[in-house]
Amino acid sequence: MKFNYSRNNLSEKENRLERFLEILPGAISWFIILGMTVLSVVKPFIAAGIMVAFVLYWVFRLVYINFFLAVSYARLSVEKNTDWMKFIALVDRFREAENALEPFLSSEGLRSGFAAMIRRRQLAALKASGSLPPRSTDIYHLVILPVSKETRQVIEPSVKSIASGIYPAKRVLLLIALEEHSSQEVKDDVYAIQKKFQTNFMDFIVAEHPCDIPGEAKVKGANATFAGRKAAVYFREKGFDYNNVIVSCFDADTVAHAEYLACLTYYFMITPNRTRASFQPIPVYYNNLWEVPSFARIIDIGTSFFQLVEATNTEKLVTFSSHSMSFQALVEVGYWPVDMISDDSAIFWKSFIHYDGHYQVVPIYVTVSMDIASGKNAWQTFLNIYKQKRRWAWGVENLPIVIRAFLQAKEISFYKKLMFAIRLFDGFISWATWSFLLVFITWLPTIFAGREFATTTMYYMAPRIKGIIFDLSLVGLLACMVISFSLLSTSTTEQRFSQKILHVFDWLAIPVVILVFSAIPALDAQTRLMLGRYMEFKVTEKYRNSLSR
Amino acid sequence: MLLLRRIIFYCLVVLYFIVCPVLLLFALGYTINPLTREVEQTGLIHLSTIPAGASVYLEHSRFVQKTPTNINELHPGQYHVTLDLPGYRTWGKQVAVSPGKATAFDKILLIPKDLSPSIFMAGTFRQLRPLTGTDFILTAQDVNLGSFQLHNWKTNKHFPLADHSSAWYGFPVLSVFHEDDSKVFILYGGGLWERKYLFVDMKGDVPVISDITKLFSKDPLLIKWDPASSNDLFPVYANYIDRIDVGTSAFYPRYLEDVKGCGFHNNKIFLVSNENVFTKYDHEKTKPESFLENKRMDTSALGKNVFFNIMIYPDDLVFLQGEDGRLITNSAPYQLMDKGVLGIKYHERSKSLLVWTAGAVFSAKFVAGQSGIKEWKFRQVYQGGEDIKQCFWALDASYVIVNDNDKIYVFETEPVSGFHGEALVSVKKGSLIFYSNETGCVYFLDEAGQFRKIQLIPKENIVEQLLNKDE
Repeated sequence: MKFNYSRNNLSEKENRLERFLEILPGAISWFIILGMTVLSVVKPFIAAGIMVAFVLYWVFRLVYINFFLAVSYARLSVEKNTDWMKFIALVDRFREAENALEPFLSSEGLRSGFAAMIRRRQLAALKASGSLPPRSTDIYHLVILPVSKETRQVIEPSVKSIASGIYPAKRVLLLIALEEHSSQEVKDDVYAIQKKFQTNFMDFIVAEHPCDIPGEAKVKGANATFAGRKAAVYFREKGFDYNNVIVSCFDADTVAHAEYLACLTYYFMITPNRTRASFQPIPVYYNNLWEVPSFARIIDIGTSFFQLVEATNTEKLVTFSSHSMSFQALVEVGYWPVDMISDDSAIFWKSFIHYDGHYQVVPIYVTVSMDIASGKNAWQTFLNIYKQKRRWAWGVENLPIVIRAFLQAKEISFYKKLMFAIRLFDGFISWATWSFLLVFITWLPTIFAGREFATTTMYYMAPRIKGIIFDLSLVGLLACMVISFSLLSTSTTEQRFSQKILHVFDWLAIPVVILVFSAIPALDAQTRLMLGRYMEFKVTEKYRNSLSR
Repeated sequence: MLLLRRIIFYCLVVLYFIVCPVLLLFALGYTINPLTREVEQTGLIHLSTIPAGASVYLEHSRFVQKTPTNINELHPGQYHVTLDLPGYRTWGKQVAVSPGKATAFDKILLIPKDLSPSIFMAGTFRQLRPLTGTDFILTAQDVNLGSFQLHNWKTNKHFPLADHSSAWYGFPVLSVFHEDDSKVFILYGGGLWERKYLFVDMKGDVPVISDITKLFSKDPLLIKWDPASSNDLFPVYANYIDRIDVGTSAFYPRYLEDVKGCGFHNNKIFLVSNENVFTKYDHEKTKPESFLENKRMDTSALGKNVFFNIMIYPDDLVFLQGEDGRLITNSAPYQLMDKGVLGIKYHERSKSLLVWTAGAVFSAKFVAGQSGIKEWKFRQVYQGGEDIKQCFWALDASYVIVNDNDKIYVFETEPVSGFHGEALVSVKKGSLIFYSNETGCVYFLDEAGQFRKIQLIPKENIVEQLLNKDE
């Protein structure tokens, strides 16, 4: 469907609808928070009953999430030591002769057995689709690193991770999307890196994005789009088929796992509708994990967990942060939005609408590591994390545009539209309200109880029931602690065992951390959108004590 | 994976829609009667004690959990509840349980079996006078000032008011004037033809005594002052009030005239004139304004020829206690009691008023009535008293400590079923007592005149009580 994926240049009618839908998430969140507060004071009996039902609902969701967190973590562990280059070669062979693979899908031991089962299923699905995978030798990669204020200490490990990965860098076009307004120091750093790594790649281009292109906002998407267009010209001139080019749009601090491009290539090859798909790795935040305060660690490990859980839900998965997609699709949908902050999720929605719902995100169980937002001191770190999370929560800007598109899209199935609309509303509303409900409002009926309510069984039983449910939720917390420890133990960070053990106890602060760095920024973002105070992209400050990678 | 997600999702949805109503019905008291196999709405009893950990008996069955606890799923009816904690008196009550309702016994104070009052200060004393609102208790072994001592109940320090070298050592004391919260008091005494007024200042490390007799034109009925400005004394006479500035020795005769009642608070003078006009001024008698909530009050309740002591509390509450025991407030319905009131105490946090007469104790709350208009709702805490002299709020206004007919009692402020009082100890005949919420101790002179204290509230529960200093 041809759709203007933007809140700008709309007709008056569309503009009114857009504005209404912008107000809706914030208004619902505030209605829930204030409504429950008022209800707790005015009708504490009813509020107490609602809170019991809510806390039970929350713990059921927690069970569901924890189960799939464990499943997803197990999948990540199973896929961890996969020799993706071997499997790329096998898929090439599969292209020629479908039965030639059996001997190679060995299943010795539990882990390799699972891995073999996954591979078999993937290849069976590919076979069933009737789609032939492209030859690996035809596939090329474009990696875009948008740079604005980042220093060499931040950018160089990212470039190095691609150059030194197991996938041949000579099949990679590395493109640093540099802002024209970046400082001379940043520019010097970028060109120095280009000089240093030029020969490692098929090509290494620096594209300077002019700051005065009409219709663009000061957002990362505009920079990446400019770089994307440059790359399109490059590939066209070189005669490359866009269908065989995979573009990965990273952050400047994204350190890809050594297997990343190989794993991505494999998944690209075995995905039947590969040019109608984005590929989502698991983001982890190891680059400066031990240089930041514990609250910063916890919130970003929580983000990794969230993505691990989301990865199991392929039907509703949306791209987040660093991700990859078919270059052909990118060109067809018109690149990233140039006036939106949340370019990472917006590109999925844009593609989903463009292809009338025939677009999907494929999870790939390989990690990309990024920096945790930090500052010169704990307070600056606190502020920077808060701003970063608010920027993430600003993804709510997609909601009115997507819903507006859904109202127009006749070709997208009603089921898909309903499913994604519920997902959007549920995701953003629960993000902004649940912590408030759980940390504060759940206790209000008891606090504001009048004489009448205080003489009911509900007054005494509701806190007791909620207490038992909260105790049960500690099992979920324990699961998070164990997975967090395991994830760090298998990470490449060289930290003392005792420090990792101590980190596990950081999780005890999770209710406060989630409230401060998740719910409040989300409510802040929704309130800004509700009031029409649109945010601009601000580069998150990231400090490194040393060139740690 | 998607299939697994769907299976688990739908299982959880089904489970939620089963568990959630069950939990809500459980919270509402619904349960299945195992005998009749019918759904029945039950009630519960909430019990919490100070100290915690008492065993709970329902009829003759011991309940597994100890206090604080809820006994839930009780079929409607009458139950006898007994609480038992080793070393403490057994607490028991007949409790009615209604469907969907909770009968709450919050902060049940368990009284030690062996109160064994400890000696607070060695010696034999004739009288004890708490200096309310300060950290001090005043005692006397005989009539001479040399036998008077100040006891700091917070620090357990004791100071003689006048040592052997003092000119006032042998000064016979006839009466003591003190205002709540004030760090000064006035002693009246001396020989028959040489009566004196001594001003005792406790603001420093040691009490300082000065003779202010010359500032009095004659013996007043009362001496009142504002605790916030204790150098300004107001001797009260029939119909008028003088003013004395102790700091500058200035004397202002007939400073306030046509006075039927007075009170002093936060540098304001509260007056009721003989014409029943309620006015408050600053100390310089400027900025007059009414302190009556409704200026059209029917003032007949004030009567004639009755002098009123005006007491001012937070929340703009003003109470007028007549010398004949009538109690009036500054908001409708104005007259709270028509006679017999000996004293009142206001508890700011719970906004409760304690009122006592010689024979009964009442607690009152200012709450909205059926018409929606706020009014004082009285509840009798104790009746059948013989000679109630003093009452104190205790445990966040949950209890009242009463000094009645030379015995100390503890009563629940809001008895659920009938008055529930516990006798503690006997005290010296005619003697006053003191209860400190900060130490949880009752201070008194025993029958032999020994100065003793009882730890009524366990020390571990004191921190909670410190939040309620206004008791």
